[in-house]
Amino acid sequence: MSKDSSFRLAKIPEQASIDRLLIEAVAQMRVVETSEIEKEFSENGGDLEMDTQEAVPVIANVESVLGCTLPGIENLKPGQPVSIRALSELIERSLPEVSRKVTSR
Amino acid sequence: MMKVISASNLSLGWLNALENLLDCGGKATHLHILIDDVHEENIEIRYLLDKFSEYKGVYPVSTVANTIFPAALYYPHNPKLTGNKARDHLYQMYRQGDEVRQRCPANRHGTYFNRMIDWPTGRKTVNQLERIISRLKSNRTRNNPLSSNYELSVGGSEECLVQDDTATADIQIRLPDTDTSIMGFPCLSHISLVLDKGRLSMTALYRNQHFIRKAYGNYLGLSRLLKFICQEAGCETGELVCIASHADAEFNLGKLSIVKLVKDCREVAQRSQMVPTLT
Repeated sequence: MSKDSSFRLAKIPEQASIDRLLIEAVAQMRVVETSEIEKEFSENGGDLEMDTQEAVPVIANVESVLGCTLPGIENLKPGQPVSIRALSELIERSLPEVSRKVTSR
Repeated sequence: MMKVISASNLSLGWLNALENLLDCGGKATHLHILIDDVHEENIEIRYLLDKFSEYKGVYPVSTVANTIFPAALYYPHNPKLTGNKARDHLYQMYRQGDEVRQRCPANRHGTYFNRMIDWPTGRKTVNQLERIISRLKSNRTRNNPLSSNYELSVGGSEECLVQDDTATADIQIRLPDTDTSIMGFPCLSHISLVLDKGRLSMTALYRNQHFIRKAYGNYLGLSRLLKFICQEAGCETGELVCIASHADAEFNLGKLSIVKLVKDCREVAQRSQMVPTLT
């Protein structure tokens, strides 16, 4: 998995796009249709919890698409449940820093 | 001195073993724990231990168990994952997360499950679990149990033993060249499986086992691993034996608080709700 595709981060994705990437990654991991995860996500008020073990390949999947290294679940607040919303916010917060590192190369 | 402790489930196995360690000064050599039924655990005992672990700032039971078998990535009941697909998908998803997982300092040398599915042998890796499952499946359906096929090793250099309808298989964990840490990973050295009359039992050997931070999670992870292998190979689930060459009650975490934890666990043991170990 290459992490040197700086062109992919020329524009920092918005939260909705990050949500979408996470939803697709969860669907791929659970081997269900993306629409199923979207439905669950929507019915749960725009969030969906997952196991910490599930979050690891999900983050790896999103890293592969964005072409950069993202923060892991250890960066969540202590006791904070792992969920699409939590990961999405974590990624969104980290992307300006990731983007700055990539563009300053 | 060798001590054998048996229990009907992993929660009681852990509790009985810890009580025994308290009785003998907190440390023991050659402690054998035999767990009859790996299908259920006593959820209130786990809850008390998790609360204690959180207070002491150490990992919860589930984190430890996940290093042996990541149950959350195994979807055997997904209709799209029939045949071998559920376990292939499990291996694929676990490998997909390797890079992310190994950024965590505690995982920098890999995890137990990682070594089970990608055991390094020179230039390539061997999926020990896949070899074992294939071996067990072919063994289970064989008419003549004394076939030479029984003789092949599935986990490294050690030979399978054959006695009538009994076969053994091994999973290697410890790398003699690179695992030079005295205190750290891996504490689990070896897993041995025995198929006897269609029933698969497991023995796990720990060079050193910490009974507050690790043992309960170890038993849970091993129980899930045994159930996974049985499900995939079509075997009946047997017993789990865990041998701690050196067992430590970890008085450094506070002897009095550990004594209280054991007392509290014993109190809830009788009335606690039982839950499946693979959830």
